[in-house]
Amino acid sequence: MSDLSPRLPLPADADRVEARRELGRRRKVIVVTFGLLLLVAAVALFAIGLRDATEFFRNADEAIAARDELGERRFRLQGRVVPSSVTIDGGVTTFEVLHNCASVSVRHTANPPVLFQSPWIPVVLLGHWEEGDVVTVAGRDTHYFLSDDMVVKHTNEYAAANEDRLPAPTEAPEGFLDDCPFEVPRL
Amino acid sequence: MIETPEPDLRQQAQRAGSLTMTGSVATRVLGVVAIAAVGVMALLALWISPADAVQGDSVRLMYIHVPSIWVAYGGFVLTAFASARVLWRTRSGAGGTYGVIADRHARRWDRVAGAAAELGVLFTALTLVTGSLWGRVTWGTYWQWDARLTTTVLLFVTYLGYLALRRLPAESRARARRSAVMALIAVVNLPIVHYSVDWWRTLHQEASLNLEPGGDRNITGEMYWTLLYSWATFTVVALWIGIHRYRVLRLEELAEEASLEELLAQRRDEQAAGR
Amino acid sequence: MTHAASVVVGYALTAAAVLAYAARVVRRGRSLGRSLGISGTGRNGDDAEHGREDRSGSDASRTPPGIEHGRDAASAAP
Repeated sequence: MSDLSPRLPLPADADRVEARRELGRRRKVIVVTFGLLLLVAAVALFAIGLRDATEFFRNADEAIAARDELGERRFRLQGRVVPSSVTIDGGVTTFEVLHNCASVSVRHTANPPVLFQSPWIPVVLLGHWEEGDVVTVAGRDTHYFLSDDMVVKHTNEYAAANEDRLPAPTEAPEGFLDDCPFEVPRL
Repeated sequence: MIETPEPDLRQQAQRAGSLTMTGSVATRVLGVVAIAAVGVMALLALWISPADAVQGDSVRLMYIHVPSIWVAYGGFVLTAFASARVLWRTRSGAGGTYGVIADRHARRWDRVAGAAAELGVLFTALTLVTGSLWGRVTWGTYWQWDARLTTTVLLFVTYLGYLALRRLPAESRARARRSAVMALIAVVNLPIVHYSVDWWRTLHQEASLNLEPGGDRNITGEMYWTLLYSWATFTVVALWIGIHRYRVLRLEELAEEASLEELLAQRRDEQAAGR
Repeated sequence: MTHAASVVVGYALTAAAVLAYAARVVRRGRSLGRSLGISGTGRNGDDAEHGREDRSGSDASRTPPGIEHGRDAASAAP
């Protein structure tokens, strides 16, 4: 039977053994540090991300209701683009977004994404309220939304490009305008 | 004491007439099926299925983006399940008080957990990359910190940490138990990722597929079936790689044991020489 | 990037990543099997068992190289 008890280093070997042990310890430290860094990164990501994430945008009706509270603050506004309201003048795109029968007039100063052209596409805009008299499909308003960042919020509805049962491309989604006390001009 | 190697791999290799220790008849069949399935999937996803009315051709990214995250979900659930088995089989009183895992089943579950998590990380990364590409052409941005995207990144980072933890040098039982605990904590994020689109307002659209029987289909005909088919294809491919990865983990353990044996043999030789 | 281009990039990246990972796994399995001396010529898996006990023998003495190479190529299929 061999002796398998831990081997005591010879005096000459002691340094080498110690050096090896030191290397092992250092490796452990590196791995643990790496792990901790990852953890910190994860928590930071979560904190930064979720601050925005849980209340990612305000719908058009909510943004109007909270106008006083919002003041000049930047926030994200969500609504469907009213196709007949889109005009492009120089670098500024003017249009209205509609949600729950509340319409917000928007002046957008950056290039809109390609899908912005699809009628009634939902968009999320980043910007703030500005004073100014405007007329929307819902009536007169004292403020418009000045935005410099737009993303298209596409839905989880998918349909083949050429299928008959799709609503005509310029029509609002079913039920979207049902409760609205105003008419939306067709494109 | 060192356990004798499990004969299963070798027998499998023999039966298959295989040289690679990780191949067997089953994995070969699976491999052929996977390659054929990928070929058909490419046809369906890139050629036969139609472009979307709003998104145009970019909708084809759905057939890799969505199955990727489903496979990742599957991997992480399997990791959690296997980890629970590891903890159960190595609890004290289950013959698990030694530094090395004595229980063969616990070792197997530990390997399952490791292999599945690695695949999960790979497919989560693919989900993030393909999602980002898809986002660029539809949303108009590669990235937004909405709840779905944020929790998915967190999922990815957490399981990277899990894989790092598995690599920390430690005795096998401690390592297996430690990573099993982490796997069970990490999996909590999974339902959060999945339901984030329902719980919070997100830029990301809601779940792509309504699997409830009789539920409304928000994806029409060919697109629906192409998505389901792509999911099946991804699952077969992941299974195929996963089985190989499992066997490689087994070989890594064997190699570790072999090097330990070598050290012991050296000691014996030294002793014999000294006498 | 156009829609078609992003689709092409997405599919190419996915295929490349999965293939690279699969190749890495299989290659690692092969090299481990070989270094363990149990890469199994298929016929004599028992050798491996002996090999592990007989520390004095080299891997080469256990697996005829000619056979190993021939089979290796065949096993490149999944």
